[in-house]
Amino acid sequence: MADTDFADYVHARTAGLLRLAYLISGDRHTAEDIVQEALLRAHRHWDRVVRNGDPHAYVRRAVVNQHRSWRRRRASTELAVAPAGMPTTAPTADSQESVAARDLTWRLLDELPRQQRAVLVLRYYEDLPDAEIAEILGCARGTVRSLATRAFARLREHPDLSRYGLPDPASTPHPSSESPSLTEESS
Amino acid sequence: MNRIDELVRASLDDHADEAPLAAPVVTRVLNRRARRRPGRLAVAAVAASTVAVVGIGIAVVGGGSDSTNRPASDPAFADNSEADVSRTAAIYSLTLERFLRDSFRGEESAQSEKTYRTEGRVPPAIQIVSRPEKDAGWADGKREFGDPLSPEDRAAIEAELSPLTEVEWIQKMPRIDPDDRPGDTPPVITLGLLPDGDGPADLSLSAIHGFANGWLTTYVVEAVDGEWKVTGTGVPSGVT
Repeated sequence: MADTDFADYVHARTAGLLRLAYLISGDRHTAEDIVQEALLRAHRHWDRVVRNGDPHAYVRRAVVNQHRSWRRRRASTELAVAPAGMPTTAPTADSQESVAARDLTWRLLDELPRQQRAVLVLRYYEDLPDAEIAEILGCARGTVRSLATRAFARLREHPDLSRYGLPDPASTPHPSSESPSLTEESS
Repeated sequence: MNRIDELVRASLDDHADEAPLAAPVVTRVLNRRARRRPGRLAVAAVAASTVAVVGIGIAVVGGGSDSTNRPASDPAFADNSEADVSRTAAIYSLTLERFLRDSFRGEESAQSEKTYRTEGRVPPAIQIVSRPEKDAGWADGKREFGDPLSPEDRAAIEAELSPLTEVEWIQKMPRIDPDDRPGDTPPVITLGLLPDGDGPADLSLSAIHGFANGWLTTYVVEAVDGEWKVTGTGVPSGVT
């Protein structure tokens, strides 16, 4: 019975896990490896995973932790290019700027420490609350906010991105955080 | 879009679809899960539990430890390798994984100019000579061989390496054709003789990948708190 559940889980969730792994690693091959490894290792404990009630949270945590310890490979083919499927309307100066800024941001994410990048992906792609992110990373909620702040600071201060003059999100708290303001993030 | 968090969100949304396709990963996971059954139970590398071998599985008799009672090995919380195979399989698996990642890490690797020309990716399949040899076949003088690995140890090593590559066991080094280029055939790995004791001790591994394209690496292995680890590199080492 448990094995059948595992197969169902794998069929249903692998695509999402691969997107998560790709976004936190920036490398397709690494994403495949860490998702595969996380799933195979989870399978060894699958009965217990199911008994604990939330297999997806368990495996997602395993994917993030696998990445933390995964040897970083130089992703020679992972060049940031404008993604396919860009808007088909006639490009305007504003939209070109927007595309360029997003493309640049993607490249700069690769320069972030793994924890900082993981927080941004879990917050802004997985849309997880800070409490859940903290549980995944094994840290305090304050640490999650601190990691996010430091990540934004690094991105914003990068010479290529700073010219866009992007304000930080400090004035508007993260919707899923419990803190009404990010007052500790002024540095 | 006028805030950096919005920019990050948009950028992640832009690139999420670049993730690899799920179907190949699903297939590999489910196939390898099937190959690894029956499940392997945890046996500490230095435990006194009695191990009986059944088919390609490894079962513990006489009340060995159960991996489900070992939170330290929980993959969701840590990246600890389970000491759930024989000493032989554990040491070779660990060292092989390190050897493969070191050898095929792309531009950073000293061997990469001559090895598999990929984006720094371990080849999808490798061959391993099932009979270890002194200095992984690079020793001078008379050749010295160990006993061929047991079917159980071979299966355990295959399973441990399965997330990384497919393993094919061969009895002896194949003839390498002068026209063979890296990528035409799988790399052929030779294992060095396993050291006795808990280390630290040297263990050599060598590879041939295409004609006149070989390399040797020696690792230092030791048992740390009951778990085997690679703690450094030693001698000899070389590149053809």
